[in-house]
Amino acid sequence: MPQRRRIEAYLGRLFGYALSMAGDRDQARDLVQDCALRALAARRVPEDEAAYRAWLFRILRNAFLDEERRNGRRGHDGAETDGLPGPGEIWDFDQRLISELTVRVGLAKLTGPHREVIALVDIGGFSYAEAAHLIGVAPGTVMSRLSRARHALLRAIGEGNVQPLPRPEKRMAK
Amino acid sequence: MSVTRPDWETLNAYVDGELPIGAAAKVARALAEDRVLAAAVATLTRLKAATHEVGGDHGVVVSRPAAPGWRGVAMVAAMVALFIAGTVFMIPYGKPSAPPWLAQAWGVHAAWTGDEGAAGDSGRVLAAMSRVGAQAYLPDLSAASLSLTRLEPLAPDIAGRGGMHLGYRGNRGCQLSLLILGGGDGLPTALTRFGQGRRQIFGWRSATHGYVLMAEGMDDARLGVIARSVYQGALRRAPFDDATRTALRHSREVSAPCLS
Repeated sequence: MPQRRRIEAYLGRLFGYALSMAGDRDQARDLVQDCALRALAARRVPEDEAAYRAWLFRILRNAFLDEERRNGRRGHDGAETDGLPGPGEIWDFDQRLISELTVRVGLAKLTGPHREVIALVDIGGFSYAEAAHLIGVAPGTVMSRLSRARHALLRAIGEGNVQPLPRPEKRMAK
Repeated sequence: MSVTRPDWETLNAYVDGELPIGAAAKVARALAEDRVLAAAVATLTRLKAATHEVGGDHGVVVSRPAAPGWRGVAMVAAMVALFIAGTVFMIPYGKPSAPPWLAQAWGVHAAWTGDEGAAGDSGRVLAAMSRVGAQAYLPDLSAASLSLTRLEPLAPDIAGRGGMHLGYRGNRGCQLSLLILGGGDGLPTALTRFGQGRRQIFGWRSATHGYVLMAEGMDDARLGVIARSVYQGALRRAPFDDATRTALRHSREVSAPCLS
């Protein structure tokens, strides 16, 4: 299969991952475009499909972290302070609140590590072990981080899908 | 025989298919005995499915950094031009038949844009949804770089009808309101422009709802594309197709920032 077509099969997942991390659609598109070009220019490409997918996501992740460093940001800061639900706390969550739109808004309110682990497992389709390998932590860390992240996401959707986003500075207009 | 209730972490792993067979069977037994637990798993499953869709509308085309060929550019430009032409020139002005409550509707928009907006909560969101019914069309305008930042029930009602106010904000100062009303009394079935000058108002009604879309200081062509897209989306009750998303993106790219 030509490399371009092979990459195109993953564009949606890569974009979802990039959007989750960057929080901005234009930056996410640039990241995916950059990732695709780097992949197309690579001399050696994994043959195995699972390895290929992980390879693409790693390229994108590195591109994002490079960009964060260039801009003087630290990319994935954010303590995992969110606790797990107490008995009965989350069980009666109203499912009607969950939609692609409310999830997208809710994701923007999570910490970087929480956004990333959700994106890798739910958008990228990685197993806990694969996600752990990609971000350099133990699978048990992915398991607990993911459960905390989803709890935080449900809370963000339930409490805050209508909270106003910060009003942009006029000088940032482009 | 009662089964120990699995913890939150285990339920997440169950939904992700990460538990060993024996542990998964234990969770399955617990679910069969505990409706509340089953509801939690259903919530997680729905959350996972909705999250998976986040990358769906990516609009990324893998291309070399060099300028694209003129044929491709011309084709996209022609497609967008057709869409915009259809939008700008085919939306009738409806000043003579504007519903009497339109000023009240504008007041909702003006009050919101003059304020950072009160934070809502899930109860208010559900209240808003329950007042207009499940058939209301809630558009995702992210292709136009507009994020939903407000979803509140209307208070007071407009023209005796309940409804909800959706507020969208962009990152260039644009603020757009969409009112969804429980009835469309006084609104035409066709997309109609009511606003004059800086007040940009579009309205129409479907079989079940009235829709009023409002902004101020937004590029006319861009707002026309948005209005046409939402109108057609509400008619079809379907997400935007590729051509519509392209037009929304393009109209934003070629438009000026909003004037406050």
